[in-house]
Amino acid sequence: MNEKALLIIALTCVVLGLPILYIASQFVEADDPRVLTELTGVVERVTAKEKVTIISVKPMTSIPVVTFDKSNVKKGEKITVNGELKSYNGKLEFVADELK
Amino acid sequence: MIFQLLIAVLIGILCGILTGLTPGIHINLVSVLIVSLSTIFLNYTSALFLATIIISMGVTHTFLDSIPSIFLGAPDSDTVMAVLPGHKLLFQGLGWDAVRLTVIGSLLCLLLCIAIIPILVLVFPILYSLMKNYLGYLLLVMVAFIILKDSKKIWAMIIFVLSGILGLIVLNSEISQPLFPMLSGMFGISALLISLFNKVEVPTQIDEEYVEISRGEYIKSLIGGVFSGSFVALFPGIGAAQAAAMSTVLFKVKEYGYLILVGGINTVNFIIALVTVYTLDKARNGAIVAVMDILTSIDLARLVVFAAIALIVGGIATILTLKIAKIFAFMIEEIEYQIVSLAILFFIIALALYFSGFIGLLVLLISTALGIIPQITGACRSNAMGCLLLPVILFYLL
Repeated sequence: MNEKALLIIALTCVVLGLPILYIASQFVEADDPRVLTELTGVVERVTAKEKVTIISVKPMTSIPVVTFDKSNVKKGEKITVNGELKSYNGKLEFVADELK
Repeated sequence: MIFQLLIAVLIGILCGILTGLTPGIHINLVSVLIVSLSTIFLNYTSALFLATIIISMGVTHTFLDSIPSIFLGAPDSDTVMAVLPGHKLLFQGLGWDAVRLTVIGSLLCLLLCIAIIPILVLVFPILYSLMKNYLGYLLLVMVAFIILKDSKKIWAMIIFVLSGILGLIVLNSEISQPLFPMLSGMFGISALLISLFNKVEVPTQIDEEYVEISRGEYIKSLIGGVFSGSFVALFPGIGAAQAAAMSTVLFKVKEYGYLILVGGINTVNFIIALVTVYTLDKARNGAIVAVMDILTSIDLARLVVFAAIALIVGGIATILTLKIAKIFAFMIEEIEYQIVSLAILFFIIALALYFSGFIGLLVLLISTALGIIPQITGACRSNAMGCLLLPVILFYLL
């Protein structure tokens, strides 16, 4: 098998692979919620409620950090949160086990 | 999402070029780095993006790693078996042609292996459930098979046992990145030292197809590549080098067909590791372990996405490997081979020191000494894979 034949097969692979990838990617989930166990960022907003504190952490502001322990984090503070992503009322939230 | 995935493919290919061409930098190392930084990366990107980088890197690596193996005599554990026939061609001025043969193996076996994934998905769970209680014994039979087919049986046994003892000590120690100094010494530095002492002169290289292989030899090598690469994926601790050693006996592949076989096994072994994760939930190589750390599971949709990525990357890696090998063929004449060997040698020593500290250097020294024994005695170097096999066998049998 010469170089030209190899190059033709190689290009065919790319041409075949692209539509398969496009179709298959429509059915795949990009994220696995279980994977995120730690996040680091800067506190953007703190909302303290009766039993729970909700913290918005930059840059991942789309997922609120929720802690059931008493927390005294302040806006602008850099924190590292260990915990787990969970779904609550159809929305993702990061439930903190530990705040550093 | 498709654009995200294509960007990840490109990053993966770039990383694969780096790991494939740099002796001593294995994909496992970069994969571990990606996993350890994933908590930061995942703030900006998806888990699938990171997994795609690792898989693209892995596939590219299996194509490109034949270049340093053949031109520099600095293989990683997967391409160690390609060094001898590859070097023989290099010293006939046909280094590029040797790379072409491994690329033929990688690309065609990749296509065949993707085509049979649906069959493997059905067969693997049945085969594994039949064999899982006998894995230790099966591994033992395979090892006996590899040792007995060696022309220097006693030395093969000694090398296997000694490297196995080293593996037991190193893998049960507190050394960070224990595989790096152990495998780099056995398969990298030992080969470099031998070529340095032998003061080899590399002749002018021709970047043309010269070696002709019969259709029968092609078929044997490709079937051997797909069969062995897939079969050994079922077993922990057995990799491409052992698969190549077994298939030469089983399929009676001759010297140049052997390069096709080794190239094929290397790529198939990586792709099939995704199937073992999907069907058996078992990760059989370091890069796939890293993927599983990030993704935690592979479902059918992800398996299809990864197969499509492998197809695309395989095509691109073929073109890249052939072009880069031409540059290597040209460069190898221009630069002093001894200087390149020395530079690589010091680079590996520095990496071992950085990753594993002074104990890593000690491991590097011992494993280098072990790696020199087969080259002096004429026994097959793959017996030194006892460093991984013996601990696995003992784990299953004891």
